[in-house]
Amino acid sequence: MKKAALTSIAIAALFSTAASFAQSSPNEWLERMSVAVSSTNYEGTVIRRQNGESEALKVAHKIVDGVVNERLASQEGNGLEIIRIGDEVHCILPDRKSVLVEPWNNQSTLFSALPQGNAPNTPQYNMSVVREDRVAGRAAVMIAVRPHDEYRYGHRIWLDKESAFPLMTSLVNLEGQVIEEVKFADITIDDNISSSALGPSINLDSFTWYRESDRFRAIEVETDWQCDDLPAGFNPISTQTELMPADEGEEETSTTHIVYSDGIASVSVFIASRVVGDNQGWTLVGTSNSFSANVDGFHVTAVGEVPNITVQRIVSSMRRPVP
Amino acid sequence: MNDALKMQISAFVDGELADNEAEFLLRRLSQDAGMRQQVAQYLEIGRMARRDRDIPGMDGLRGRINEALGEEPLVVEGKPEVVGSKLMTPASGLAVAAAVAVVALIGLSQLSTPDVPVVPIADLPVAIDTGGSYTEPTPDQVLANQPTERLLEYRRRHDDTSYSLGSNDIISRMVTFELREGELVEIEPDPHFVEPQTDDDGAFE
Repeated sequence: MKKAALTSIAIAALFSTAASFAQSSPNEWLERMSVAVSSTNYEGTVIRRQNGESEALKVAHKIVDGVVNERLASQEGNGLEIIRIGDEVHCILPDRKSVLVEPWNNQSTLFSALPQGNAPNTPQYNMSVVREDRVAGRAAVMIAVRPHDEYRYGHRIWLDKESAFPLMTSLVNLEGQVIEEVKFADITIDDNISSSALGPSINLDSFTWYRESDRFRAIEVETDWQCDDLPAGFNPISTQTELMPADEGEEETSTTHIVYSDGIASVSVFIASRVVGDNQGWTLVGTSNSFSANVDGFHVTAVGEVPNITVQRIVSSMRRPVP
Repeated sequence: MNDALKMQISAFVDGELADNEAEFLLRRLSQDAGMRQQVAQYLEIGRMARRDRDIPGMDGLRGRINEALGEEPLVVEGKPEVVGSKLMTPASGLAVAAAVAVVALIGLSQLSTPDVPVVPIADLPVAIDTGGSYTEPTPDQVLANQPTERLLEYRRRHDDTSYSLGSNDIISRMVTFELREGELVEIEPDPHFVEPQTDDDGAFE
């Protein structure tokens, strides 16, 4: 009798928890998502869609003694594999018999632009829990992050109802068209991911290993440059002077790099000396849009995962006050 | 029309409005002719902004909705005759429920280009951002430019500095590998990575 009562209480508690998860606010869902992205062990197949092209990736992710171990392997094209151990990634290019070692931070290598838990504090977006859905065979909750104007993209995020892990994310433009989509076709959320799933699948004996040169340096600075007509909500969050690598036979160039953010989207503005052959106007760089123009004798470029009119507006209103 | 309603209409059109909210919205529209007119104008502005984006299958979709509602298309009073979206027509509670059911079946996003009365855009009260003189370029204008090495480097720097905001894209970083090869320094292989991992005991060596 006592056992039956305890079982009833446990079941009731379980349903209560499930119900409270379903009724969580978007803010609470995103906070849980941030924790889930950094703490969940999983293995699966991801379909990544970008610029009308799609790509399948095998993914395995496991936290071992507090250190992220991860492997992403492209199932198409050149068979690129990316192995991450903590703050370092090894990019294996089988067709070039090369391994590139790069430093990494603590961010996810898979999800390119997930809003963070504090995103609901940004007034430029409206956030809502839209509906329950199903992704990769799992019950999911769809969260919509809708911008209030045309100067930023929206997000749709399908979170695993049980763990809040993102099973699918879409970056969408004003017309509702998908700019980029990352979707698990199948996923196993499990603490027992084998180490063989986390290492390279090919022998690297004959491969040449590289790392980046130390030529790049960045220094936090103050700058006279300012944007006279920033879209609402965007504010400068960082200004640096950077030495950029130059073409052969030319000297390194000093570039001022200002980052503007609205709390979710960010735009980098680069101000450099003019060089023959530099981009002018709009250019697509992956999922990022860029706009370049000559301003006050300098070459100014804005880059970011924002609509074309945003980068154009920012570049067009960059000014250097006359002393 | 207030911003909250605009946001709700916009979310509905994009399929991002919860089913219960969509039903509530349709009920409000069915009971308020003035609001229907405002929504029609708002959607027309959106349709113009979207450059009359045509969605395949829209005719069939309208037919299915009409069929589900069991009603004839309605002419909006004082406006040119229009084969109406049921968003703009008075409907009974049953019809509203049927519309919601159809919408749930076919996806809300497909309702993005309903036929609505044509209203001269100059006559409409439109909230315009003060920086609205910027125009979206055509795809040809964007694709005409190939990114230079410097622009690819900018993109990488942007990714690097956007980490704290969650912006991160390791795949695109690799696109620039070939261009950066001259900048790379050859190093000794990591002995842990020379052989493929075959053990199955949990921790990575």
